[in-house]
Amino acid sequence: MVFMRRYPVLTIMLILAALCIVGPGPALAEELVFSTHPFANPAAVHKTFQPLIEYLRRETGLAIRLKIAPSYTAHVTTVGLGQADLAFVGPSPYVRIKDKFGGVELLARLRMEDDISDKVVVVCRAAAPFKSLAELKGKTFAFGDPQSYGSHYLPRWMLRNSGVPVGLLAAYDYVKSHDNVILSVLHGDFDAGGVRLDVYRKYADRPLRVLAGPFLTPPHAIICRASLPQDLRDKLRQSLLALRDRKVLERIDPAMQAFEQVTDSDFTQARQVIKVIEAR
Amino acid sequence: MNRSLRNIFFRRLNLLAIASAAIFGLLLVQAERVILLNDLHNKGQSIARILAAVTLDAVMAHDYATVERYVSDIVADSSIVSLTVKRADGEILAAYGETAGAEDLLAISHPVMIGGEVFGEVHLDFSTARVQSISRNLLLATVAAVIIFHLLGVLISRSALKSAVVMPLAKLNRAILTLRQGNLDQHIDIDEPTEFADIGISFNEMAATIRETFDDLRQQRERLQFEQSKLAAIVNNMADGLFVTDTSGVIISFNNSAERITGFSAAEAVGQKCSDLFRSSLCRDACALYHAGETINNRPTTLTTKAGESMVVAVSSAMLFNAEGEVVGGVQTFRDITADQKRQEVFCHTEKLAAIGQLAAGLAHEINNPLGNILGYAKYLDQAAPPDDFAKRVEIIVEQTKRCSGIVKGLLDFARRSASRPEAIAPNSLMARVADIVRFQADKKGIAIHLDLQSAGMIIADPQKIEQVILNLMLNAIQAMRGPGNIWAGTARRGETILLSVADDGPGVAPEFSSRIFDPFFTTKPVGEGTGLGLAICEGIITEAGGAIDVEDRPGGGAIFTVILPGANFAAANQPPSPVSEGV
Repeated sequence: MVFMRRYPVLTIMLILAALCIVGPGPALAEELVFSTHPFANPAAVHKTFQPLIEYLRRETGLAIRLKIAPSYTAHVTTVGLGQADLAFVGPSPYVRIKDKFGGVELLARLRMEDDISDKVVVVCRAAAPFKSLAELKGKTFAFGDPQSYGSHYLPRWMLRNSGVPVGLLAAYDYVKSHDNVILSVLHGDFDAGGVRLDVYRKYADRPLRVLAGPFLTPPHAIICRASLPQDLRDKLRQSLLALRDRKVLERIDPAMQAFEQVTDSDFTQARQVIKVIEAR
Repeated sequence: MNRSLRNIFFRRLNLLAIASAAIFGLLLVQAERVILLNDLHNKGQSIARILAAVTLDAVMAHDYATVERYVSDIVADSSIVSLTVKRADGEILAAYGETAGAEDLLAISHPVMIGGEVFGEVHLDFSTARVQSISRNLLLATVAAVIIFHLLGVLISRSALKSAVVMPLAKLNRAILTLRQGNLDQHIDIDEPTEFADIGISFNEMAATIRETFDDLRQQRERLQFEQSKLAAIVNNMADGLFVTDTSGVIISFNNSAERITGFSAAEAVGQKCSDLFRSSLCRDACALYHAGETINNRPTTLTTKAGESMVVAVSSAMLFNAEGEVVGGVQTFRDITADQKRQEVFCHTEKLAAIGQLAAGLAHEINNPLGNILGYAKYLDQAAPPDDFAKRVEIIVEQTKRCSGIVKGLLDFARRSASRPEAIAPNSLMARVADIVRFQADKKGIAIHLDLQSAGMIIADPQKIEQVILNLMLNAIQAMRGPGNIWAGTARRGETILLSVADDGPGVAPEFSSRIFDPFFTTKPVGEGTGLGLAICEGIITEAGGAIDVEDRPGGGAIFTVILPGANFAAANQPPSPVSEGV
């Protein structure tokens, strides 16, 4: 009290700073924040989700703002700290947010035609002499983001199961994205790399081939802050499951068919793989 | 084609605008094309340079997706036909677009460098179609703008031309037309433009000048009409006949007196040649046109009247000139001098008789001397004498007889009354003969006669009449002198004329008498000693011969009478025409 009386201005500034640090509470803000990881350039990401956000705004009557996190880690942190109300997550981010921060709830998963985005392949150049993952000993390998399940954890898991732990590779590196994995293999920077099947399909006309896979992965999903009002969460889930507008769905992915029910058990495999890889 | 000022002006303005639009448009388009291509090149260089840098960073991080994304985004620019990023080994890292079949490409390359070594290359192919399109659109826009501005300019210019040129011109033209129709009270007011205002002022001044000139002309015409009326009244009421001929001798005017004298009416005379009408040598004798413009005064000649009678007339003639001084005809006045002629002949005869009377006394003395000699020698014929003396006496008698006979013959010749019979005569011999005739009388008074005969020319005249004139002049000189003195008689040639002069050192002619001395019946002699006809007859004879006579004071005292007669060559041209040589 003496301090407050002696330094009143400083006291007010400290209170304001503290309020800023604490940040917004679990109460519903006037605007919902939809966070996503940077799986593509910001413009492409914005183009991907803007129709969906518009759809949800119409359905809920609430303003929704898209927030593109600068990295996988930042995305995990933002959502885990409750700074986002909605989020698009892959298997790895979901597991991390869920296991590390909690406070999130699965709303719906993306279902692709032939579940193409839920499959991972290991690719190499078409002219490469390899026939199996085991032959990659002493070779180089490209991973995507270290936090990516499809381009890191699962390919690394498959290499390990094939007897080629990363320690037996001549070299490996993280090239941030699935596309970079494909392209760096294509341009000869690496002998092989792991990517989602749908990404590989984009470069089907390039001189590449699948060395191994496809391997099934947990789906991508839409989650929300668990502290959102129940009726809002229900409304969001129902809206997603009811979405049949092809223009909105194809913007997210040309192969996307619809949103479906999803449960935490769908991510059990991912949780085990990540745990094993990170234990090493 | 309408050649009005407006059409000419706008036709040229249109041509100028079209030419300007074409030149301006082409220059603008060409300049814009250069600028656009330059911009495109700079843009390509910037893109290539940036893409090379990005590529290098991305490749170092194996971030080929970023390279492809950049390439994809860049190629979204429609002006880039193709964009390729490739390594030095030829590996294409990113490529979009096709150049096959594309035309008018602008190729730009930029190396991707790693520490001074070439890692790869960024190559862009720009389409210049947009430049072409912009150039085309710019050209169209320029042409459209020029056309629009030209149309606006034409509208404004038409309005300005109408108010500044056409309307003032129309006003000026109306005023000129009205002026041309005779309304001289024209005044126009043009305020602007100043050039037409000046023209308006000049027009007003010109109209005022024309008005004043017309007023002057009207007044002059009235004066002229008055003068013409006056002249016509004079001409028609003058006693002498008057007619005017043109240069070919055709009569163009004929007055009342001419009608009265000749019997021809003006209607009959006008349009006829003078020679045809009068059937005489009048025109040739007395028309100034035939005498090198010489003014002719009272030259006697003849004409044939309408009744066919020959009439002696005195004609005066002068050339008629126009305002430029060119000869346009001749004016002839004539009067009937038939009565005067007869009267003069009577006077002449009377004077000759008087002269003969005067001569008679001298002759009596002249003849008395030889008669005395004859008588004296005749008395000695019957006396014996040597043969030689006898023969000498007979010879003297014969000689003295011949002398008397000569004196008588000369008197008879002088006294003979006859019509003029012109012939070529030598004035020197004529002068010498007359001097011999009067020498006796001169000697009686102690007067010496000096002859100075210089002229070797000939004259055409009646020798008796000319001799009569010289005799009169010499006798007058002798009579004028109260005592001894001198008479100088001489001839001389001056140009085409022959001068006969008789001078004395007597008392001379008083100035108050000099103008009357040739008048008939004028005499300074005592009553009974002179008739006053001598000099008048002389003047008539000389005038008839185409000459003139004059008197003046002699330096040192006395008087000089000078007769001027045309020389033989000149006189020949004035001979009466032969019957076949008619015409003017």
